[in-house]
Amino acid sequence: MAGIVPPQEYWWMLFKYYLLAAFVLAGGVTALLVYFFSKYRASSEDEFAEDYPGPGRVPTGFAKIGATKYMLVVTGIIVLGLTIATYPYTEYVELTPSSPDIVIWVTGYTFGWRFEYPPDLGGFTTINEVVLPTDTVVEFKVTSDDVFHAFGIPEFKGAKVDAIKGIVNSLWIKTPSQPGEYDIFCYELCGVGHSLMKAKLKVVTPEEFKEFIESKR
Amino acid sequence: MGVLEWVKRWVTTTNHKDIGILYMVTSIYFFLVAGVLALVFRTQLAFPEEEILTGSEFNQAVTIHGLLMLLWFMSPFEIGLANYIMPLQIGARDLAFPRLNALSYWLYLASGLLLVAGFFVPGGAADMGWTLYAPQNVLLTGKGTVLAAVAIILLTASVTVGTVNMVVTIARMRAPGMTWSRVPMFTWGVLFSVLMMWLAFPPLAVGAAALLLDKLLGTAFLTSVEGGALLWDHLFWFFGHPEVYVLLLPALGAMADIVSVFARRQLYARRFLLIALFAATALSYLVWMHHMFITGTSLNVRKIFSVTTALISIPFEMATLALIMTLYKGRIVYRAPLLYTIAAIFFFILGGSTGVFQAAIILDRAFRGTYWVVAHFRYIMVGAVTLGLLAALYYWWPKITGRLYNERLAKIQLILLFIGINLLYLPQFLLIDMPRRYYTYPAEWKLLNQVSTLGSYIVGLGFLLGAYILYKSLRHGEKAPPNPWNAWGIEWTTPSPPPRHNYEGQPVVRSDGRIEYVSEASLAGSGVHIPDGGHSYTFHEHWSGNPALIGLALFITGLGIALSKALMLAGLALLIVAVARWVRDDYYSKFHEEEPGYMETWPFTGIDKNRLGMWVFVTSEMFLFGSLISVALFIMSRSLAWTPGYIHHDPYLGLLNTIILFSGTLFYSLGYYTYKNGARIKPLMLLMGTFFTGLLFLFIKSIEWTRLIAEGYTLSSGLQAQLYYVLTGVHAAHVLIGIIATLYLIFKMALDKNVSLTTLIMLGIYWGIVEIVWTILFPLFYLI
Repeated sequence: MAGIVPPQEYWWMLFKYYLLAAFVLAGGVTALLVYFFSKYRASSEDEFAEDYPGPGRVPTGFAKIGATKYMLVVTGIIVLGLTIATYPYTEYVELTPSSPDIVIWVTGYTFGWRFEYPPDLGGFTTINEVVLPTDTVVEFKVTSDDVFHAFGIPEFKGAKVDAIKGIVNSLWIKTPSQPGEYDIFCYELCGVGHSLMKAKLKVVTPEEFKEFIESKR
Repeated sequence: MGVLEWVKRWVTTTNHKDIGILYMVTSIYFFLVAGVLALVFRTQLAFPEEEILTGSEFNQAVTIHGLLMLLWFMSPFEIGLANYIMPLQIGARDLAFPRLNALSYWLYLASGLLLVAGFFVPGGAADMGWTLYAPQNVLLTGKGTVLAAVAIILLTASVTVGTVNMVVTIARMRAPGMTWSRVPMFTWGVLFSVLMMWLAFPPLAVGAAALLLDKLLGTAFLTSVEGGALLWDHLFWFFGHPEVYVLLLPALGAMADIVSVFARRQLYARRFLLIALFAATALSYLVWMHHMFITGTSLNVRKIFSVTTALISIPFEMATLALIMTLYKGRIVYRAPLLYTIAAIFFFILGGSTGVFQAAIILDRAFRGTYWVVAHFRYIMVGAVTLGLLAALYYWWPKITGRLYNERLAKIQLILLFIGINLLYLPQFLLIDMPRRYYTYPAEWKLLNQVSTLGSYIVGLGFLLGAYILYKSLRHGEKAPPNPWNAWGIEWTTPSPPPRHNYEGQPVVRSDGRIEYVSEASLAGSGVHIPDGGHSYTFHEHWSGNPALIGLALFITGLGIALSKALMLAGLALLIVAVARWVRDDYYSKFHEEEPGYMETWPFTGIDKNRLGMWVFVTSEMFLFGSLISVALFIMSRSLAWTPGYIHHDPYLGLLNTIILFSGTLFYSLGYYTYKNGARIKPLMLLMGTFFTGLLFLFIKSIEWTRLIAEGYTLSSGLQAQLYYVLTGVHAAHVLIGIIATLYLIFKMALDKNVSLTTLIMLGIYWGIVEIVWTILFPLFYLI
């Protein structure tokens, strides 16, 4: 599975484009605000621009829209364009590659996570810890025993789905090529134990993974 | 004035300025409660393993904080400001329905107190976050959540009545010459805001009712797989997203007026801005599913909502640019209200542009449920809306109190708030991995949380200083002239504070925008109706204790629903007394306000205020039923065990009832036409016909229910039965209210009192709705 790009790489790429667009657009608008605000000061309280309705009046008629409409069109195109440009990546992140290496069933309950390994690996269950080999495409099928939880692995940006009873939501990641340990949190307030509903994702070498499977059989 | 007199005045007042002050003071009280809660849980979060609060207490604190801030502080503060300022801005003497206005306030107060009372009941206050997600809101909560559900339903009633009032006032009570194109932006903002509340609150009330039924009667709307989490998500967010703009638009409108006044320029591109905001109001109903990007709904549907969400940023960009361009070539004076507005615009830009990130589904997957969302939302709500409202308060304070305040201190307060808000929320953007509503957290997030907590203290200090400024102004402030700002607008042409009847004479706007005061008599053109027969205007001084009594009764009922049946029954008894007293006042025409015929009323020239009000109300009723029926269809479409209705219910009996209900409405309309043509006995007989067909309908319904229950088809027979009982039950309750109202009209007619055609039309509209709803319920439950 070496050719498969981990979803979070696309997440970071898009996030950076958005940051750039936001800095340019919001920064530009803010600069305009500050510039106008500091430039056009009145010399006295009683000085009015020609089009000020003035005390004892209400505004009549409408001031025209000038160059602002072009700015609206441009930013509109940027915002919509950015949104639509994310769709191919959204699909990539949402749709699991046709044959994931391992499928793990994840069930949230108050307050913990239960992981079920596929039958060909022994079909055993672990609690609050999931061990996976490096460089592997893994699909999580996420559901809940009771209330509304949300399963998320923050290190793998975008790896988050809601855990809802009666619904199975899919999520896939590609494990890194180096062993490591990652946090799993619940991202929906589910009761008094919400903060304690944590699990660990352990990525180990294929050999260690084989040993782990053997130890469970 | 003695204490008793003082209490009596505030409890029985129906004057829009009094109600406005009541609203603002109450909302500030709830703001203080919510603010202190925030400081407490920010303190808890200053250290990863802090133990000031337990998990349960922490959850209660964040939940009540969120609910109070959004629903019981911001929106009511705006409604209070609108109560006071909006009629002054458009040249009206009061709202269209002063007594209903008082009712809105007392319902609001009762609902807020019920919510806060949660802290003192077993199990504590509501504790599943302000979004009250299902099914934990049913399964894992105590009495506090019951109180919260009742509070939300009462608030919806308050908001609906308030919407009727605001819409009718703005539509029909503008001074001569105050055409739509001249209406100030704050009034526009209020109009857009209530138009969103109008249709957004009914689904929320339906959700709260489902929550209440699940908690008390054991139904399974929110706990079942068919309804459950997703049903709540849809109902809540259909309300929840428009609600954000509900809060934003009055503040934005006030900011637009303020910028124009202190930049000494006309507002830039006002027509275009209005079109943009109108578009945003309409579009706000079509973005709710962006709160559900990771619930597992179809990707294509989510893509549509992703586009609508990106689209809605454009009207608000237009608003931002309009405000900034108004500064261009202005003659800016740096007074406190303007400085607050500029800060609010800055925060709005920051909060708004981070919102665009969340429109992208892929990015949102990482943001959802984290502090990034918290930061984004706070930049809008605290940065833009709250500072915008402070700008509005500092702008209209001299008008409301007749006192000036220390502007230098207000500017220092702004500096504190500006620094505090940024320290508080900028770190939260960086806490992009930290889940919301954690009361303990891994040590790696400690520093950012501590900065955030420090920021919250500075913000608290800022508000403390604000309280001092206002207190000082009230006690020792210099007397304010009518127009301390050189501002345009009708409200600045009358003394500060305005007299009880707002103006001496009637303000009129001339075609060049000049405001003039004329006597009402001079407005009497051909066929223009002047109240009091053309004499000079005498202000109708009215007062009524009944709105407060209804509020009290519902407060007791609400407490009773959560705590004890006896208390609930006592509350209901009091409610009947209060409503009877209200109706008695109407019967003797004690509470009567004629509409002056010279106000601007386009496009509702042919419809008087009562009918317009009824239409607004009935539309929101339609949405209530629409939401109920949507709930049924949603559950139905996800149920495997849905059996055809005719297995449980007799379709012929249902058909009979349909015919009965139809003939009742037919009698009613015939009654109306004969009454209109001058007959007196015939309409009486026909209305009796409506009354008895209504009774017959309920009688047959009760036979059906008894039979079903005898057969064992009860609330515990599954979702289908539960939906049947709830929907037809709500409908039957509407029939009952219709019957009682019809009986009232019969009495009034029989005792030779004058019944206005408008009253007849209003009840007719109501019967029409009852009819339409039944034509949907009948096939839904009896045939398919």
